[in-house]
Amino acid sequence: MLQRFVEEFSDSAFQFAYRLCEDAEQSRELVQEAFYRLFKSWDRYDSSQPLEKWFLVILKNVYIDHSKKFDRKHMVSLDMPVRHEDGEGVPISETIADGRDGEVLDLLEKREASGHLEAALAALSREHRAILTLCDIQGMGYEEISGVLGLPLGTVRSRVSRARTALREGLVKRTGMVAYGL
Amino acid sequence: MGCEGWTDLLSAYADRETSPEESAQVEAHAAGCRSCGRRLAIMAKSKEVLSRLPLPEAPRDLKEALLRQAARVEGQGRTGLSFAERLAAWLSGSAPRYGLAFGLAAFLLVGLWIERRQDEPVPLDLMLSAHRQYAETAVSPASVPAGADEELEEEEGDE
Repeated sequence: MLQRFVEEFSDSAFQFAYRLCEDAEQSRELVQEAFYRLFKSWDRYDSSQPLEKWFLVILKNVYIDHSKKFDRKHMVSLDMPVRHEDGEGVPISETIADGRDGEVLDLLEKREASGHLEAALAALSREHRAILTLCDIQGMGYEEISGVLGLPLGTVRSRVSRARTALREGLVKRTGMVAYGL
Repeated sequence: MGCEGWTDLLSAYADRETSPEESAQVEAHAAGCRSCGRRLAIMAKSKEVLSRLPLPEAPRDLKEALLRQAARVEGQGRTGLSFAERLAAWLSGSAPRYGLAFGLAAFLLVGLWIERRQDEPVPLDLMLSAHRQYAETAVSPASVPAGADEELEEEEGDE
């Protein structure tokens, strides 16, 4: 079972780690450490629970530990609530984004859309990147994400939404770059 | 509710995470609101492109190493881990903290034991025998040769 899990899930784990840290070497360390912790606690695994979810929780914890260790200055915790800008009116960036939505849609229809999206995703905060990776790339539902990130369902819903808003703003910036041939 | 108030619902709708009532509300609103209609389209399109994003595979050597470890763990249980792996686990786990606590406790116990030993009264017969031994080996004033004191004073004066 464990070998089959490694065979089937190591790519997916590596991709998740890669989206979190955008660095192949660090992703490798994260995956290695996460699997090591899984092996170490294998005798405590409750087989009635999905192994994939358990492993992703481990991977997320490893990532948090690594972030604390290597990136104290710039780290924002995955569990920390993300500030909501909507409290005091609509941010200017969103107003600009509203007027450029047509261009963003055009950009997404282009063949190079994936490159622009990848760049916009990489520019997001870690929290937003993590939640969009789980939701859009790994294809998880809110319930599963809630279990992996240890967040209430309502927080998952609003955080996915904020992440999408930030992604859209990133794409708006990309449309400007495309317009200027950058 | 202004269009900003729809953002979370639009996003949840793109993820098919809305209740039937919420879905009906979103559909009705998006049909009449160009801004929200576009936002929803961007969300859905982004989601679709992201789901097809080419992603790097785990390095082959990493996968092989993980498979070997998995085989050992499955085949032999925890003892299947190599000494280096177990040492690494010990160093990264709580074992060093327990080790330190145990060492400290042992050190304190030994210290207390020595302290108690020092406070214990020395048996009388042991004291008498030590005294007798000292009396036998000590130099008595009578055994000091005459003039030895004067020689000693001269030596001290030279210095």
